[in-house]
Amino acid sequence: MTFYRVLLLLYPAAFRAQYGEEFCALFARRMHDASSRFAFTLLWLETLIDVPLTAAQIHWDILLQDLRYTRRVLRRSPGFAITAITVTALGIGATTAAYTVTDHVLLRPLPFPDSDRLVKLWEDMSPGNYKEMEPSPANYRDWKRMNKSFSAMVASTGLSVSMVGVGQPEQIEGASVTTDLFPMLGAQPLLGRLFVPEDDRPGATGNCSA
Amino acid sequence: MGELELDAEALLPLLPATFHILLSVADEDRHGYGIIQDVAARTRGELKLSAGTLYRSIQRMLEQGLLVETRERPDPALDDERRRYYRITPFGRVVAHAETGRLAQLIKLARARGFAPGRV
Repeated sequence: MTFYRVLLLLYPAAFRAQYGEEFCALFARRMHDASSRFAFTLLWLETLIDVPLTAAQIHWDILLQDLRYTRRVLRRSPGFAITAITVTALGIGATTAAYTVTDHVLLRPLPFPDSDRLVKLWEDMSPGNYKEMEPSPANYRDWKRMNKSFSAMVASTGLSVSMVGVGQPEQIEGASVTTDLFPMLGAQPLLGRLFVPEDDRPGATGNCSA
Repeated sequence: MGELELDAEALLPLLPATFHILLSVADEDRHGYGIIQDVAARTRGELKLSAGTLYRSIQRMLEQGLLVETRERPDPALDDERRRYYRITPFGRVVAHAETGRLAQLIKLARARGFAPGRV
């Protein structure tokens, strides 16, 4: 009977409060009436199918009942209905937007192998009230030369360039990076080739990769 | 057609379980297990209501006003205090009449087309 009571937890709480004891009384009576082991097994099989099935139906009945009630209330006061729908829509929209940003910025890993091993290095200039400062090129070169902690170290800085040629000039936001960036990220270009050390010298011919 | 009849028409066609429960309590108040036994006996075991189906139907029928729970109880020696007893309401009778009329009309139409029982 304990297992039967556990099974009854599948029903909505209000329904269980109303009929739970009667369910138990009825089940006890049917167990008492089961004349053979076969009848007893059949009763349990029937119960194991019936309870989850009817529990789902009753949950569905309650949902429909709530929806009907909501529709009646909203029809009675259309002004309130419009306000409620608008506020709900705005809430859903704002939540979706916030979650989308959170998902892309915080939750999803960066599209590189072992992206959890990527870190950004700052120079600590606390005496000057700058705890996180981008290092100078000279410091970067020293760090790289003395590095024993990281498998690779690259430098980058934001870069905004104007593309001119055909049609209207276009401003493109990009980054100026050292040539070992892509090998460190494990990224391959869709078009063109990766940078090579020769590209990292003054006067080198340009390389275009996508 | 009166208001009660109009309300009754809105509930048709009844589910078989609902109609059988109405028939079961038409003559006397019954508790859940009594209804199950009565339905099984009247249909010669063809319809055995499960507990879930029974109480789901009863809950809906109480909401629709087809049944009421009665406080009258039998002799305590014959009673189980966990049992609830159900009674058909006047509206429940109107609905049962309306369903009977609907089924009778359906049978009449079927017979007119030569679908009498035993004739294939």
